[in-house]
Amino acid sequence: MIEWLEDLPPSKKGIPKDLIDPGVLREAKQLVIDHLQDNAQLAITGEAITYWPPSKKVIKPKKQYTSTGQKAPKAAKGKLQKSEVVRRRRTRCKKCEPCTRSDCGECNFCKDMKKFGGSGRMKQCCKSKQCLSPVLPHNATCLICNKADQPEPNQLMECSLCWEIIHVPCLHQKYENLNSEGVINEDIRQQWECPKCLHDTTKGPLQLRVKTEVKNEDPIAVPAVSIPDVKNIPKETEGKRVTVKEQMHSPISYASETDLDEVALEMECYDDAAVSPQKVTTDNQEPIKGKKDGLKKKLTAKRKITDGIKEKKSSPAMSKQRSPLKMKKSITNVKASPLKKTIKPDDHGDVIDDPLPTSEEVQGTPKGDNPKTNGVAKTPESVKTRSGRTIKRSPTLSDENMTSDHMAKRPRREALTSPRGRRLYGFKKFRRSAGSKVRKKLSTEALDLVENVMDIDVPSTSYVEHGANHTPSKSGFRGQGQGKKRKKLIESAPNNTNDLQKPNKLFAPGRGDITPEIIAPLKIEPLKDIKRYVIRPPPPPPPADYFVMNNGKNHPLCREIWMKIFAHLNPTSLVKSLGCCKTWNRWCMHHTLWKTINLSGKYIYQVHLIGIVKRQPSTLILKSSKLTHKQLAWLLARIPQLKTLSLSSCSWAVVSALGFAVCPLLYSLDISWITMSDEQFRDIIRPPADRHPGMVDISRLHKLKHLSVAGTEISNTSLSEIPNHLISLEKLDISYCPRMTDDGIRQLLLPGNSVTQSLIALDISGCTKITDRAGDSFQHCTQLQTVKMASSPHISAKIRKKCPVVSFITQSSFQIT
Amino acid sequence: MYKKIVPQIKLETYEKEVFEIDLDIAKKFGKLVPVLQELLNDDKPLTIKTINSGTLKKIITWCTYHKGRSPPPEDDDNRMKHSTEEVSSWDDKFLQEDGQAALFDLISAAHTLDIDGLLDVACKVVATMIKGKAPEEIRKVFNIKNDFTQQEEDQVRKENDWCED
Repeated sequence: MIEWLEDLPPSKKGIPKDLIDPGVLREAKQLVIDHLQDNAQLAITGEAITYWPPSKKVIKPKKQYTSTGQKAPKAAKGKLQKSEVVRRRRTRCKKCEPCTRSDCGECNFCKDMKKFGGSGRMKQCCKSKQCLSPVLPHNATCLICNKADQPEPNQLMECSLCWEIIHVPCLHQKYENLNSEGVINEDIRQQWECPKCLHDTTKGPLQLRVKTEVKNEDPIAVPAVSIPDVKNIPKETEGKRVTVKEQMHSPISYASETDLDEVALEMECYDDAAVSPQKVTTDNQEPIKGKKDGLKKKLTAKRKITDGIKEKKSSPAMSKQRSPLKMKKSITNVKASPLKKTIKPDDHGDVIDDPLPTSEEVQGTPKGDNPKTNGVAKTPESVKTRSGRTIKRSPTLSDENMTSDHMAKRPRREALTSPRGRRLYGFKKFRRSAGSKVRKKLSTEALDLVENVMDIDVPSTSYVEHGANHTPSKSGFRGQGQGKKRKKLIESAPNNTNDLQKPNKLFAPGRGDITPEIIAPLKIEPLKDIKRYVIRPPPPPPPADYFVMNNGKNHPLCREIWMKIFAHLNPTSLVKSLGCCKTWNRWCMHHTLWKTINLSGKYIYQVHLIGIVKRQPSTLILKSSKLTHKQLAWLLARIPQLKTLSLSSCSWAVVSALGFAVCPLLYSLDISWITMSDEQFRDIIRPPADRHPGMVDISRLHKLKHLSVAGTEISNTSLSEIPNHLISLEKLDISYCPRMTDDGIRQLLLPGNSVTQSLIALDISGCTKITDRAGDSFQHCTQLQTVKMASSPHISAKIRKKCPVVSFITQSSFQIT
Repeated sequence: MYKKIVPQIKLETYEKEVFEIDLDIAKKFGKLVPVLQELLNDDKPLTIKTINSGTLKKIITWCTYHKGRSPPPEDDDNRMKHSTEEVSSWDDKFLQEDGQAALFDLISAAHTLDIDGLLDVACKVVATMIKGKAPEEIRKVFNIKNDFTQQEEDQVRKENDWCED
């Protein structure tokens, strides 16, 4: 079994809820192995107690991903374990409505609390205080970078499959060929199914990104030293550059980075020493790698972007944030297929464009020209990077290159390629492959820096990446034309669904050269700002008034008359009529024709449930039907018009579905002849545990007029509960409940109880413990007309004298058929 | 002379034929009840263009036949149960003798004039035509155009056959 567990694909590995310590599996295995060599002779039974089943399979450690398919280093393992231990814990958000409540004092957990006089052993929070959106604990840290979730909360994501808590950007930086985006769980904050778990192993094992030594730890400390180098970048270096970019294989790398190069050039012209620390850092790294030229270009480009960002930072932060959201929406529907098509054209475009960018770069375009040059240069550069590879590029890029209008197009592209774009789709429900995005490992310093910067530059990931590093210098560049670009980008972003897909294509399997680059982690915007609009289909048109005959004319009789005709049909004929034509189908589905649906004794399947919901009956008879709790719960939530429900002879599990807030307001309920205890009955008639906002704290059965609990095991306790919750009860059947006594009747009919004002009929047949004394209680009832008491040996004729108004029926209504 | 004693109202049909209807019968026309007094005083016939002479004649015949019999009390619950069995043979024959088109005209007229008893009986008669027949047969009886594809038809059957008794 242990082996079987271990052999599960990563995506299926989960830890059962009840297993508190996931390490138990490992221990169990160890135990088995330890005892493998036990001497069978020594065992009392004469057999080896445990043995490892012979198997040729290599035992793989759980949940380890390696770049080469080898086992992950031990250190990583240790980390994993650590995270496993910690991982389950979530803390309350302290913001949601339940979190702000005080203890109810009524639930089991409250009662156990010392302050309510309990033993304090359960140590659980009040049931009504359970947080709706528990968050990761404040000390949760990213498994990869070991950084906590600061300064911006909600950046960490916890995988619901492997339970690893990580920064999304970190993950992408660690693995280069993630071929799927995570799937975000919309119900639980900060939870998703991480790309690792969803990784399609058919496309090869996960590749660890080669880690390059990051030289420059403190970007700020190093001024823009490398800038001069940028100017010197010869064309020949482009080849190198390509490799660098390839390594990066993030959308940013080809699009925005190229832009950045140009920007950098501009920057140089301006002699802005303060320029971006990031640039500096990158520059420093580049020399190390030996691919300075390319990197520098990129760096400069980054700068440019950052400049734009800076400009916008002050005011448009909000708009930025929103745009990603839109993009997300648009993206969701985009399928991956289109991506591949685009690849080829791009490559061509790249080749053609190559010369342009370099020349421009060398010249150092003036500010005003920037947008144009950027657009042009950018495309070519990106092309270059791609050209070397088998790389996939989107057609949009090529198009952009061709067109002279860079301003308009460029923004788009950036959006696509930019981290922001990634981010957008990255966080979609259905994520695209993240591999392209991620760079190499982050240097911790860079990360810190980013974090510091985050406050300022929250909006888009791209900005975060580049901009974050630059932020310190931002003031110098504000107010320049680049800001406009940014804006455009943002605006156009929502439209660029196709472009967004690009990043996916980008990830290429083998990167030969390693260029060290410091990458700030992508910043994940908190999703709280997202406005969700539910898109509902328009209401169906009203049914046709006439149906069409074979001669194309309308039938003389209108729908109203036909409905009267259908009213005379039995269900079987109605079903036949349903199949005559679409108009009849619509007409015959009307709920007035299906007031009663009787499925007694039948097995209930999905088709029944759907059929019932379509027909919206007011009476549903499920006597002895074979259905499940889940089915009934599903059903009850969808037939709010239901007035009469019979669950006679069903199991308690089914009946328990009544105890929820979605239960329709029934007038009549038959839950006779089921195995039901007092506690269970109380669960049904009490106000539901799950309260909808705005819901009055009152039993869902408070409108109940007829209740039959015949043949159940409820006792006086239940009877005493009835007046508190079922305040309009008219007809009560407690026949053949052997535990009922006079005391129960007395509690039910205490003077002043609402039941005494409403009760009309009572059935106490077969309640052998009820005696004449119950007659005293009957006197309190103002409306009581009939009491059935067949097979009640202890009730004599005296009772009639006590309550002359009430007619007592002693004859059994049982008919044996 | 004797005739004059029985108050009558005049109705003009689609064909401009004027019918004189006894007040007793006219009282069964739910639509006319509020204006009966006016009609009695007014010598001008009330024109009802949606009803033709044949139909009105039948309605009058039916009402005359049933004048003495009060309709059985009905409520929602037992309506389904009664269903079609209780259509008397006279009614059945009377309503069907002129064919379907006439029956539908009669129903339309009964609906227009709001004659409950007649409408109810007529609807039951139509319901009998539907009862116990397969969809294809029903289509033939009422000349319904089948706008289902085969697949859709199968689907409908599959979805709904559970509620057959």
